[in-house]
Amino acid sequence: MNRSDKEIKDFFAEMRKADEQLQIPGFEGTEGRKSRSLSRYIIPYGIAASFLILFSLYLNRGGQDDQEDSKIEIVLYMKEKGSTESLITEEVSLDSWESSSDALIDDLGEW
Amino acid sequence: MNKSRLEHLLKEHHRDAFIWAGQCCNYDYEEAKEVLQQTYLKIFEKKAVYKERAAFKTWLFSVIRFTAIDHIKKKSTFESLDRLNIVVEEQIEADQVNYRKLLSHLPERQQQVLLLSFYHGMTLAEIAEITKLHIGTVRTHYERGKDSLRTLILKKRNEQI
Repeated sequence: MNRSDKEIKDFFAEMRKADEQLQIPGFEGTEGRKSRSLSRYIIPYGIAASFLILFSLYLNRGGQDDQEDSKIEIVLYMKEKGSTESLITEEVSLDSWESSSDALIDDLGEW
Repeated sequence: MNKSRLEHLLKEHHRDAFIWAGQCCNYDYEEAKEVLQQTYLKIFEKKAVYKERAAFKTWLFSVIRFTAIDHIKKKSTFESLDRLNIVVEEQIEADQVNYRKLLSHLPERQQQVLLLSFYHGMTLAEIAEITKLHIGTVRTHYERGKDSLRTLILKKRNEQI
């Protein structure tokens, strides 16, 4: 070994000695990886599942609203010239339904 | 190779692997942790397969080196070069003996060849396998690296006198 090689070997030997103070993280074998990879799959699936549940709940609720909204009354009445015109009104429920002639009763009462 | 034998070999070389990962990441040992995790994942998921053509340590070091290169490339797209340089400077400042600072004056290839040879005790043929360079190129880096480092050591010594 020539002199220059000895100097370099000493340099790296001292570097190795200094690195002995380095904190080496523990080795994670397949067991550690298994639990980590399991949680890696569980978390996104859990989030996706809760989104699906929330979405299906929303859809169900939305469906009920649609049923209420779908109570549509179509009234056809004769115009003077004999043509017909559709008048579409929405009703929330049968409980709040009012006859179209109710106004006439009230008006007659006033007369 | 079966799983338990693979795990045993990885455990055996874990310390050297971590230090080598650190050296590939400019001595940023937080990055080294991530690189080593990615390396182990590649191995366990059989994305990197040991075919017993070279020594296990040689193969492992090669996988770590390429994983570190990919990791740094990905990282540098998110972080500016300035930030990376600050990290390297901080690491060098924290190193009291300044071995790393002295080595950082050499070109990267020369640093890696010298580290693999003198720090990790590898032969030039093994270094050629790890770096995927021709053995003649490795020898050139080795000789030039030694000359440059010797000059730096002498310069440093003269400054101290």
